[in-house]
Amino acid sequence: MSLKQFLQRLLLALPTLFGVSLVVFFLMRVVPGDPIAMMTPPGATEADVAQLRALYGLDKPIITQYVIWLGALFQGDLGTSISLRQDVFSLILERMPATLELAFLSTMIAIALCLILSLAGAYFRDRIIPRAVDAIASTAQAVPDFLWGLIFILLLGVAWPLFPISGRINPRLDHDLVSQFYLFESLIKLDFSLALELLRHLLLPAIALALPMTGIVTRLLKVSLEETWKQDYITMARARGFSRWYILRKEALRNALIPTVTLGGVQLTFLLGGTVLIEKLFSYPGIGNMAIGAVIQRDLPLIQGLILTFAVMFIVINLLIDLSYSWLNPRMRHG
Amino acid sequence: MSLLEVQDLRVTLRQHSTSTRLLRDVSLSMEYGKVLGLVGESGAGKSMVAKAILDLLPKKAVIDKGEIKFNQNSLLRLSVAERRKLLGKDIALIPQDPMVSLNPVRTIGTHLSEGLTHHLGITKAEARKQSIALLDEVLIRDPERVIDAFSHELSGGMRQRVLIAMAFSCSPKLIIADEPTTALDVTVQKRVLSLIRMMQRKQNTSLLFITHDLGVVAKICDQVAIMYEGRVLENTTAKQLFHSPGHDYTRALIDAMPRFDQPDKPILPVSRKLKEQLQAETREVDQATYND
Repeated sequence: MSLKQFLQRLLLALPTLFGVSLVVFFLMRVVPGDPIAMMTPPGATEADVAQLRALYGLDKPIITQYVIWLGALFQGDLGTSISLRQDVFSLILERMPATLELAFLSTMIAIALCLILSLAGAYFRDRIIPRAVDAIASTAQAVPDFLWGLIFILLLGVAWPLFPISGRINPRLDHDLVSQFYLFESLIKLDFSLALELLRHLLLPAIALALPMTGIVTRLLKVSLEETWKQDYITMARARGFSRWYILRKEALRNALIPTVTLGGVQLTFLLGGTVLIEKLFSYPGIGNMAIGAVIQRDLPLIQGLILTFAVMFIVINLLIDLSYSWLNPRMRHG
Repeated sequence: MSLLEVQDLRVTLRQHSTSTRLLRDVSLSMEYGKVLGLVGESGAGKSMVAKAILDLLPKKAVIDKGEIKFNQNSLLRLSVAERRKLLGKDIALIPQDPMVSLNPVRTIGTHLSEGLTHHLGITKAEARKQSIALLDEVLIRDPERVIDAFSHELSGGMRQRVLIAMAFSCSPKLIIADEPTTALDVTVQKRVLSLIRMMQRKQNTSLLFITHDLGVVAKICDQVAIMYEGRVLENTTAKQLFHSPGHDYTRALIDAMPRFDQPDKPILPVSRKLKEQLQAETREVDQATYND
């Protein structure tokens, strides 16, 4: 992709975001549930309620509310959370690194598992290993991420308590981390015992998130590798005396990745969506967990801010995937 | 002394409960530095012979009998790893279709130099230098640019030149050219053919040239083997072939060939009677060897 195309794509993201904001804003005001009713105690008078409504600008017509919100948005102001009474932008900024670390680790696990499984499935020509790979992949795909999470909590958190099952870090642990990127920071500081502690918390939710994606992408990559293996350039490489493993890695893998990445990209957005439930399940303090709280509290500004954040992340992921195409496939470089 | 000796090679395709003979006791012999033409129509088993030599037989094809000797060594008795050491180095392939025989995501330079580093153990920088020289040798203009190009940026003729350079890169003793001009434009065919001939003479390589074009055979081959239904019907010199063909089928093939020097000569198809006779022979051969 050329720089021009890249900037075009970036520009195209703006109307998408505008659309998302419009839908979210109006949808949240149409669905039943009133944030003010949620926060007022049972004995509150009509006047109290009206005063609160005015405080959050909820007494104005919806269109006016939207224009005010959008105007503030352009100044980087996402409003104030009704339930937490804090600035939405800084709330999200504080919680986002936790989710990014989880999603990143989960993606890495999924990619590693996919490569190992599908390469093994394509390399071995016996009857057992390719079928075992298919079986593992189907199982991983068939069970949804939150169910994997529950299984892990029950097995590895309760029955054999090998892993902590909630939170991000042991709350009694003293640490001097300055950023919210705990894992990255501890790794940069070469504090491996702290990193290990963080990983112990991260591993179960990350694997639970990774498994469904691993399953579907492994199956695709394996089939794709098998298809690539039938191509004439593979026969040519075999006639030149290269080993099966060498050809699989150097000749087949990259070609097989081209169709796989298309689907893998879609799966990656599902993974990001999956963080919402998984974070709740593992009491993990990320924006997904926060989103559930916000919905329950009908915290309109926070919900809007969070959904907008997710939309931005989806757009970034899709952009990265489009970029990877032209890296993978030289035929797309001069388009 | 011969470089390649194929003796009574019998290959059978076993699928489910049926088995189909692909090669019926094929024997061939190739001298050092000579060109052997392997001629036959589609399905005659020409490519199957090449695949047997290159260890590329389909999974379900079994060698029941016979021997392939290369340089006095039995190829069939070598381990997979030992055989791979010969492939690409001492035995090389020029494929049929250059359009699909180069990896679309790898550069021309990678294709060329990976063979050099793998088989000759030279450094990447040295391999790149040699690759550029090789591209120059196969008459590709601007090799410095082509070396970093991808196959989709080259024409069919250029790609076949690249594949020829790849085949000759490690100075092999034997090159198998499997209908190397079939997929090319007629105008390009001639140039590619003379390039192969030139490189073969320069390196004094033995060439197994698979074709169904007797005109090509007349031009470049020393020896010719005529195949039909997995059998070698006639094994002779190229001169002998055109002057006094020994087999009826060979004669029929020559009659089916257009001649520019004899424009009035009628072009006759191979008669059905002859084909039926050959097929009956094949059945007899199969029955006679059924219990081998």
